[in-house]
This record gives sequence, structure tokens and C-alpha cells, in this order.
Amino acid sequence: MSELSVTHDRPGEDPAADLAVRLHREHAAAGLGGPAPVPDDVAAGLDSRSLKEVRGTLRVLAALDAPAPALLAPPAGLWDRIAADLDGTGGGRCGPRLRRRAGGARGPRGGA
Amino acid sequence: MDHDDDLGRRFAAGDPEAMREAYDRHGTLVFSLCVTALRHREDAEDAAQQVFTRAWRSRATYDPSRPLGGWLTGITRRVVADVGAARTRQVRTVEAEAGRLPREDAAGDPVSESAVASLVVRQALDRLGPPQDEVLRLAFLEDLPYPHIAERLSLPLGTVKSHVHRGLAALRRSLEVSGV
Repeated sequence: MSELSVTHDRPGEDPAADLAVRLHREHAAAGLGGPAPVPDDVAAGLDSRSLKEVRGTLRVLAALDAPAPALLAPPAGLWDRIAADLDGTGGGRCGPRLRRRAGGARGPRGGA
Repeated sequence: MDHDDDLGRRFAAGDPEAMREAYDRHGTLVFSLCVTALRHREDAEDAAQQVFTRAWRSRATYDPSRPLGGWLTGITRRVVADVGAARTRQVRTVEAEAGRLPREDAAGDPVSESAVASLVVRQALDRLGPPQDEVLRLAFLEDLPYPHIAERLSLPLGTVKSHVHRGLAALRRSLEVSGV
């Protein structure tokens, strides 16, 4: 079997991604959770970069399938508390500058 | 969880601006992990505060060649474990004084790899923007076949596939750069 390598020459073509999606769907259809494994014979036909991409994509697909914890922005006052903490207890030169930047009213800029 | 700039290097060097940027960039992930693990909002706020103050004070131990997000995730795990252990001790003391058996769920849940990966990927998905995020949601959260997605979004099938491939690549990079 010749080694498969990723090609992006034409829109809609990415054999590594398509392979990962297929493996993932077979894995999920069997009722199995977590990232699907890449069968040895399939892995043997991939170059190292493509294999890495397939495994990475399988992790993405498993993460999308998993029950997602809520994505929550920190409360508006948390940054001020951090800045004050570093100011008051040995934050070093970071503390005062952080406190000035926080300005007492500035919350996180849209979260992480 | 980007690693495409010198944020990590500036953080390690003690640049205060980098501290704020690190908070802006990773605060949602850290806080979400704390809430998920501790199941108590106020405890999660305290824990997230500890994560960032501990990170800043121990910045000399951070290797800027590694993703900052992954390092912060590691600190989050330790802080959550510490807060959980403290809560367990507190509950045991209270229950012992009351002559009752201690509750077993006071420690909360450990921060699992799958929870981190799921949050990182969902956050990256939110950042993709239309129509790529919608294509991926339809393909992998609603399990719609590509031709159906093309029809629903009035896009050529090849364009849908391109969005799927590029979107998956972006999500994959988000995991890589976050060190998850």
C-alpha cells in the first residue's frame, strides 16, 4: 500500500480528514466513546504527518461528541480580585501595574 | 488557546501586559473547568483567582516553549484538587462534630482530560465564525450528511467539505496549542 499524504489542492479534498471522519463514525456507531483508534493496517498506509492529523482529528471529533461542560465567562470582578491579590501579597512589579490597568471597573474582555 | 505569538515568552519574562492577556485569553477555560469540577460558583471563583495568582508568582518555572494554556490547565488541576481536599477536610470536621458520617462528594470532580479537550474544542468552535462553525455543528453535532448541509445552507457541496476540513484543522490546532 502506498503512503497516503494530505493534499489540499482541490476544494473539498482532504483524505486525512475524510478518513478520520469515517473512523470516528464507525467507532461511534459501535457505541464506543473516546477517540477512535487508527487500525494498524490503516496507520501503516499513512505518512507520519497524515497519521498525526488523523489522530488529532479523531480527538477533535471525540471532544465534539462528549458531553460538553458549560463554557462560562469569569465574573466581571474576578480580574480586579486577582490584581488586588497580586498587589497586596507580593505580586512584585506586576501588582501595581495590574491594579492600574484593572481600574476597579474593568472586567474581562470577552473571556478567554 | 493560541500559541501563535510571544505571549508565553512575555509572561515568563514578567511583562504585566502579558498577565492581563493570559487572563483574557484563558480565563473562560480556567473558570469553566473550576465550575465543572467544583460544582460551586463561589468556590470556582476563588479557585480561578488562585490559578492566575499562582501562575504569575511561579512564572519563573514556566517554559515558554510550551503552550501557556496547557501550563495553566495543569495549575487549574492542582488548585481544584487542593480546594477539593480542603473542602473534604472541612466537611469531615463538621460532620464529625455533629456525629454523622462524612459525605463523599465534597471534593468535587477531578479535571479530566476529556473535559479539558471538550471545552477547548467548543471554545475554538465558537471562535470559527459563520459559516464554518455552523457547518461543523450540523455535520458533527447534528450528524447531517454533507449534501443535506449544502442544501440547508445553500452552499455547493465542495464548499461544505472545504469548511469541514478547514474547520476540523482549526479545532485540531486548538488542541495542539493548548497542550491538551
